Amino acid sequence: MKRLRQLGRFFMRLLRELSDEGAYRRHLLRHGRNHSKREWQHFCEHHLTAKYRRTKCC
Amino acid sequence: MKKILGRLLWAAIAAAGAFCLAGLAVDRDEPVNSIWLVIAAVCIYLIGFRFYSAFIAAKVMALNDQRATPAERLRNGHDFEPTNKWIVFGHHFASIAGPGPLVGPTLAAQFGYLPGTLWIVIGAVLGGAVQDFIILFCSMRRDGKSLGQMAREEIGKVGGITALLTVLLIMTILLAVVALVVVNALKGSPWGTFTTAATMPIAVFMGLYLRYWRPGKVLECSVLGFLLLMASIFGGEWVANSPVLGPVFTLSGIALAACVIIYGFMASALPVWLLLAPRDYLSTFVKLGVVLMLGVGILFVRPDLELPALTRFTDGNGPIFAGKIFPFCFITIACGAISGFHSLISSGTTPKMIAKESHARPVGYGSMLIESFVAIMAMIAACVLQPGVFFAVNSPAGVVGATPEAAVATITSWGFPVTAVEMETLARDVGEQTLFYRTGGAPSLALGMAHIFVKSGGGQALLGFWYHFAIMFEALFILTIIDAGTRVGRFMLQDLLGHVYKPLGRTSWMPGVILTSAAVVLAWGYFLIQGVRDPLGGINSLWPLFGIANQLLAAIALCVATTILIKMHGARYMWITCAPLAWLLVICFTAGWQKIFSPHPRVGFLAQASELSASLAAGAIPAAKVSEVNALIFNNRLDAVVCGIFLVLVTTILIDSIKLWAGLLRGRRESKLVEAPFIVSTLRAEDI
Repeated sequence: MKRLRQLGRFFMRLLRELSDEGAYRRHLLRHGRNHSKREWQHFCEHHLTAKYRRTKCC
Repeated sequence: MKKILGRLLWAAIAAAGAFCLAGLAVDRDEPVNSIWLVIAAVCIYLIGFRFYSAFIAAKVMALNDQRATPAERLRNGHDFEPTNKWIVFGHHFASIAGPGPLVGPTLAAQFGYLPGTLWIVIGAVLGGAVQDFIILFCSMRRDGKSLGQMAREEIGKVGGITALLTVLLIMTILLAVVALVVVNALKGSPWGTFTTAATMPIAVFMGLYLRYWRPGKVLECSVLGFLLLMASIFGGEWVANSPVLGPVFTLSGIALAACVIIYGFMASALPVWLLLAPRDYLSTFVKLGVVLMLGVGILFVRPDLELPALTRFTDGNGPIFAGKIFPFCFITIACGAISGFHSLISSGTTPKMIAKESHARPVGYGSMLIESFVAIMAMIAACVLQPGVFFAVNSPAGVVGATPEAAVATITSWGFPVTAVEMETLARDVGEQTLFYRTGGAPSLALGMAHIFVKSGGGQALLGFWYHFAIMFEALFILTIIDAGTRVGRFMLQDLLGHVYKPLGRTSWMPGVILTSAAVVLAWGYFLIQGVRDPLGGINSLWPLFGIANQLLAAIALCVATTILIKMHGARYMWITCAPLAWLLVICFTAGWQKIFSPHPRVGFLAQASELSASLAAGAIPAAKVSEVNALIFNNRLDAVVCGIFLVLVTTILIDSIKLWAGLLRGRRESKLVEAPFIVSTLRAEDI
């Protein structure tokens, strides 16, 4: 049961990383800010612009 | 005791792999069960990972967990962030896995299942995974530098510029060929077209939802997006059967190509949060989910492989693409065995996330083995179809005949019996008007996947749903590559043009954005239209061109890797990268030469142009077709020039590299490694 919970936690962490939610959480922590609509939009401006400057694989 | 047990276990794994491989190679009289293929592949991957990657990690790279990685030293909470190794593994795998490992093996199945399977497994263990692992290591030791930067620093200026030009050219061909796969899959298919078209408003809805209604709730929004996608598949069936909407969504190849081109332009020019990013989230989750489902489905169903181990088309007269098994099998399957594009990912985001040097082994080497296994699953999905059905779906009208009766007669005469009624029934079962001439690999892969999913549960009634689910899945992430690729191409072009006229380099200047987006879209759009109009189906000319380009990019990456290995150890370990490099050069240059100069019109671009010119001169072409034939002649010559440019670019970097290697090995050149300094890691395991 413990293993299953660990697997579930890992899976959720992976999903958060793939969905940029992890990166957003780190952004808030780093800048000591709280989540808000404006903050999310600010994060997207920088993070997504940089993310989609890189090639995607075939 | 533990050591002896361990050795016995690895001996058993080796014996099981050898036994299954021998079974696959020897058994020729009856269909082989796919589980043999799965076990053989998994055993070889396990041995490759346990021994070969461990040898490279310990002896060649001397990975050291005491050495701080760029993620730790340059930590900024943004790009550089020490991350759990399995999270990086998932992230890296999601980045490298595209349509290549699904489409390539499906097309190469025309030679039978054995050649492609052997190349996928051996190529990945000795070539692809080695390339990904070493480039990841090199980038990690150089503060996460890109392949182009490393080429410039380790080989020289020529290497850097060549790498940049090659990437730009490859991207143009890549975007055209993957767009062609989508167009051919959706041509005349209202159900598929509606479902794929629906992904765009769904993505825009997700973008607005994330921006204004529930900012930051990406997972929640993706679940909503996925539910809407499922609804669109059911809606697609209704649209296809509607007398009003059905014809609206029944589009020709040219109309679909125009839609894809307009979409590429909009996705490149619109704000990234509105369309590109939400589509990417959705595509990533669907991709990982479907790969997992397919793996479970194959293990559960254990289908028989209906295609033979080797077909008669090893002689070069294959209907899907022309050319002999050597070199074309190795060009057709790039991703899944060895893919140059991976080197861009391994020197992109991933090295900036690695927390400990030892993590590079499962991430770099391990992820490639999983991608290779995805290619094996695609091969299985393609080979579970009856051979006659497989060739009827994948062969162009120009090869098998323009009517269903002519096509089945030709395919049956090859020894793969199929009837027009059988094809009609299958098309009806999956909700399509016809399944003939669906070149590009996507429809036959979707059929194979649908068969596996149906046998896993749900029954035959769901065949249409699963077929369109698979088509939607393929189209979804191919379109994500198109929009992201167009955008990256736009940035590259803006960087370049910014030197000529400064405002063009500014990403916030709208006229510049529109102009460069249009230029990139027109470049790949030209090749896409060329593929759609090609009577041989387009795949015959464009897929090998893409395969050659991708493998040549791998050759460039291996040149960089060899240079670094020589600087680290002299000639001692250079065989690790030189062996796959030599193989890639042999297959790419042979294939490139044949694509340009082969006297056979279906293989050689120039021979096809000459044949068409001769027909034109002899007056054998009807007046209405003259302009079309002239365009075909021009396109064949253009393809020959593009192929020639690829070969010249790689020859340039190869000569530059060999001169450098000779200088280094003879002691005439200073062996100067450009690594980041050693700093002791203070990162604790519990911090990651």
